[in-house]
Amino acid sequence: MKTALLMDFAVNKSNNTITVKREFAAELPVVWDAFTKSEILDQWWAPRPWKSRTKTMDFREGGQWLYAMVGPEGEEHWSFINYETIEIHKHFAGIDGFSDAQGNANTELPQSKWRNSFQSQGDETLVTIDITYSDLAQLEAIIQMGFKEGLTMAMEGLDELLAAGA
Amino acid sequence: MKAIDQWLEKFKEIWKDRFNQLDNVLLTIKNK
Repeated sequence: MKTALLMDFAVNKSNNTITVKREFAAELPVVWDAFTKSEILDQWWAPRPWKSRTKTMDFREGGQWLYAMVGPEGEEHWSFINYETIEIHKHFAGIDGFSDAQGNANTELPQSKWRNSFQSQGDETLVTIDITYSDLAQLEAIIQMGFKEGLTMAMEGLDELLAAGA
Repeated sequence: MKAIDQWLEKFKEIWKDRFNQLDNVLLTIKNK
């Protein structure tokens, strides 16, 4: 049994895409469920110390996952994924964005296209996540706004970096 | 672009943490 699972993180600035690849020590149907069932997503989707709380999940083409990232002080930031294409146990894709608690998209904030692909490797599963922004300006916008609520914890020091013109 | 590169490095760390949490969830599911 391998002790280290692959993780690869690549940025293609020519097409504004971030690609994340990760192996998981579980068979594909189990990993698929972890990405598509809200009761499991809520257990891991939010980076600590944030918590993910699903309001509605409708995993089908044309459906939506509406959830809140809940911070340590109880603050809520709402997001959604609108599912566009789904091929069970192979891939799903959609649009990710910010919203209010009713799922109304905040069009003033960046949205991104997501494609999650799943590849069986016997007892393990390789997941590839492609996140694409429409243009580099959007990628820069997410930096300035702190990207996603759960990622604000990663932004420590960025204000100073930006202020310094880095 | 330097700030973007640094932000991307932090973004990567967030994904690592997130996936480590998923590893634990998958282990719990497998052990049920």
